[in-house]
Amino acid sequence: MYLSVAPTSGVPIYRQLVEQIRAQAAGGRLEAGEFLPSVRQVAERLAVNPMTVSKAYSILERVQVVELVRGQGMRLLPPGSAANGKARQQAIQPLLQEVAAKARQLSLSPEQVLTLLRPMLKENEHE
Amino acid sequence: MRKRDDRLRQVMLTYLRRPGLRWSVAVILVIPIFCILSVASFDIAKTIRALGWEYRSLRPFLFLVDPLLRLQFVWPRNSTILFSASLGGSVVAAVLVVWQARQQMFDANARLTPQFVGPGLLAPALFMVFLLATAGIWIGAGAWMLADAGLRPAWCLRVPDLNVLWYGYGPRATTIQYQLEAAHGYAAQGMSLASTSLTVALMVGAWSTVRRRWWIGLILVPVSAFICANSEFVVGFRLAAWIPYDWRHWSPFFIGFDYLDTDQLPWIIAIDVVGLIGLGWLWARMAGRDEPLKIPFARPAAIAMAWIDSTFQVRKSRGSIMQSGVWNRARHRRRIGIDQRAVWIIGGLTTIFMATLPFWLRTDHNSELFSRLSTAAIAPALVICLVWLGRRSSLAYESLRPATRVAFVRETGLAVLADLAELTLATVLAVLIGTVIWTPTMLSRVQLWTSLGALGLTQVLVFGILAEAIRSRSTAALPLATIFLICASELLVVRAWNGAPMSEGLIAAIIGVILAAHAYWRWCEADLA
Amino acid sequence: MNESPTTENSPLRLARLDKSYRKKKVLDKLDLNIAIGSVVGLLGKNGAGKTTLIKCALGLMRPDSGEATIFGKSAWTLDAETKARLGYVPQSVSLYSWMRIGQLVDYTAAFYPKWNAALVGDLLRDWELKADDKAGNLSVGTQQKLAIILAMGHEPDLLVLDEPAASLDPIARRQFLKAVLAVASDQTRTVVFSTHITSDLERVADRLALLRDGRIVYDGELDELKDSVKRWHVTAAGALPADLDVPGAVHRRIEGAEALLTVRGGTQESREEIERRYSASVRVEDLSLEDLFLELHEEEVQHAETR
Repeated sequence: MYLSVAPTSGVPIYRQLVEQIRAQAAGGRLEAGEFLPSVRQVAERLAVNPMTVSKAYSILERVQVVELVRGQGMRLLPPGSAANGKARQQAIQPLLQEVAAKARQLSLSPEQVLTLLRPMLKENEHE
Repeated sequence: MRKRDDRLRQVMLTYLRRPGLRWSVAVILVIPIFCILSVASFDIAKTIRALGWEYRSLRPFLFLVDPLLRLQFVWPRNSTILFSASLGGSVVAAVLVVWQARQQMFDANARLTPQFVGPGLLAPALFMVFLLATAGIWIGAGAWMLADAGLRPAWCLRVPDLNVLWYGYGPRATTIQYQLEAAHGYAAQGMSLASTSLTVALMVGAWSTVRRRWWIGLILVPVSAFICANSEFVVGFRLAAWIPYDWRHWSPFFIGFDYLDTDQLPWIIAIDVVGLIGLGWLWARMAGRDEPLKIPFARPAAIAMAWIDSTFQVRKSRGSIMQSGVWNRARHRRRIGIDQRAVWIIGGLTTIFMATLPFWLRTDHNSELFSRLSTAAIAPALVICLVWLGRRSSLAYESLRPATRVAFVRETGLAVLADLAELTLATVLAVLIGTVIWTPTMLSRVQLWTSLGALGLTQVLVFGILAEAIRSRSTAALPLATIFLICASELLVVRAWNGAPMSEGLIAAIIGVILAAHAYWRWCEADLA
Repeated sequence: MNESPTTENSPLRLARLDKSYRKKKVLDKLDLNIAIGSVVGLLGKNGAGKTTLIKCALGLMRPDSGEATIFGKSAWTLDAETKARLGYVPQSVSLYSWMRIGQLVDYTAAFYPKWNAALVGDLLRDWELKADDKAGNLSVGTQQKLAIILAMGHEPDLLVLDEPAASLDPIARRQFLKAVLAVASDQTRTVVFSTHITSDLERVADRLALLRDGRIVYDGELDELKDSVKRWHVTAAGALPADLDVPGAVHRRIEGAEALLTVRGGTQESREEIERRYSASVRVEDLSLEDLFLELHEEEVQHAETR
């Protein structure tokens, strides 16, 4: 599993980890039933505080992206469940807000933005 | 041309602004003036007393001076306070000047400044030659002349009989010649200060260039202490008398041994040659080339140095000392200083030096023993001072090792005391061994044992001064402490040699205990950071 | 995660600490409470008094008033057992330059009842320090590394470091952070370190204490600070008024139709209100700790024109 953090970005490290893991789970890079590396392993590899990593893991557990299996660690829950879908939608929202803000700045109407966006999304479907 | 003058002035200012240097120079200049003026007054007081109490108008003056006369701390024309204070002041000032010179010359910034060598060397040279050496002469001579030429005639006008009493051998007193002769005597004293300062300067300069072998510096301390102790004004008088006639004595390497007779020519040549090689090496180092010393027997010397270096290693401690007694813990704290073995090595080398002294000297054995005693008085104090005052900056760090503050102060104090006691013991043994070898008859003289007793008691005072200096956080503590240490040690041993009672030593010891107790109390309450 | 510290189990606690130095008040009724198991970063300007704070907390300096306690015991009269649980790395290390590294380690080890020689050996090897080198010949960074190792050898429950990474190169700094994290992974051990290097803090610290004007102006979780303080970029259709204000604004800078606001605890509602009222768009920017530090220290600027 590939994780990276930028400690100096304004986003707290735990939140970066949560988003990365969610994105990878949603995108299929991580398979259901796979175990996440232990808190210590992640903390050592990324050189961050283990408490930050365990905070990220407990948030993921709370939104039911992973579940705790006693003695073995955090196991990925299968995607496609309602919570997951909602999580995926929530994951893209910040980017959409930025698009909306930029559109307002450039004085573009919603129709113009959608006209630009639709072909890009259609590209996605072809993949 | 103008820029060079400015640069010289700036470099001089860096010396003048150093508080330690200012304190030392103040001691050199102020105390002699005070002493000489009081010496003149004492002469007058004694004379008035001899003439009787008819001169009532002069009684208040006597009343002031009488108590001091009884103390006999200042002897006319032979003041020990004068000598000790000037010695202490010039030693410290010389050390500071040389140290700063070295710092400036080896500083990377200075090397990149254009034309740095000239002013950088000229300023300390000016200091050493004119301010330390000459100032002593001129101030001393000038003060004496003021006392003699100014005060005496004034008193003579009021008390006509004084003229007859003092100047019974004719009207010489009022002539310039008499003044000049008196001034000459003090010029000689100034010369002895010059020789002291220059010797110290050479030794410190030598030490600072061999810093990796720091124990060389510690061994040099007894040697230089010996030389300084022997630059008495009596002997310097002889030197001054020779000035217009014998250029040989102006060789800088000879000045340290100013009482060598003229038939010691081989010694003079040897010292000059060694000195020149040393200077050449020093110059090469300063110019940036790390040249190995090209002398014969360089390899055996290197092996010997490595062996001595290894014996100065700190020994491995066994186990934790948390539950040990006070003495064990104090010993552990000593490990970082000069440690026990090093103490005895310094003592051993001092013994060898003192045992071979008669090859160097041609003076009578009485004063030779005296000079050995003086060395034993000054050297331990100086060595301990240098080692422990260097540890001051890390005291805060050390205080966080597991021990209460009170225990920490107690153990560190014990460590200083133990170092001082052992080193004193080692140097006293050196003195005794030297005496046993060359003048065994002196062992039966009471003088020797009373002086040794005074020496022991003086070390208590030295410990008190050290404890206060280590506690104090001001930068002037080091120079002032060193001056006091030299004065105290020298003064008391000299007086004991000349028959002063043991009660003086006991008073010194009591003062030392009071100072130590005060330092202990303040140390427990002080901010360590 | 961390229990709220009471006096008995708090590793370091300062209450109403006052300290003046040469007639200048350095610490002004300062309160600070450190929780067990946390890694606390002490952040402040140069000369803000971080070193004074640490020295008063460890009993090296006596405060004018107030109290400092370590593990419940008064800092000024710490006993040997408490000091054995304490490790300290000062800002300017004055190691004994004539001693070799091995000898220094021996000397230090003898003071403590338990000393982890294996750990010290590993650290010396990883950080490339040879036992035979003389301490005086080391570079400043290497001396600092040695001081850190000496403070960690007895596995202290409270490790206090004063600007430990100031002279370390990036590799050494990363090694140092890893060592601190190894200490931090043990929940019973606490680390307090003061530094300027905000990126180190962001990696390693979970709590932040910000020292300003002799007081602690923020003592809490680092993540919470980052979450709550944001910079708003406001772009409006027309010129914005000079008294544009938002609840929680720490810092405002208004230039014509654009404004930069640093807002603490800003909500979605207040953002939407601005967007509505001035027909503007608001972009929210996350701030790194360095930016936060700068923002919290700048004085208020009312209007660009008045400068």
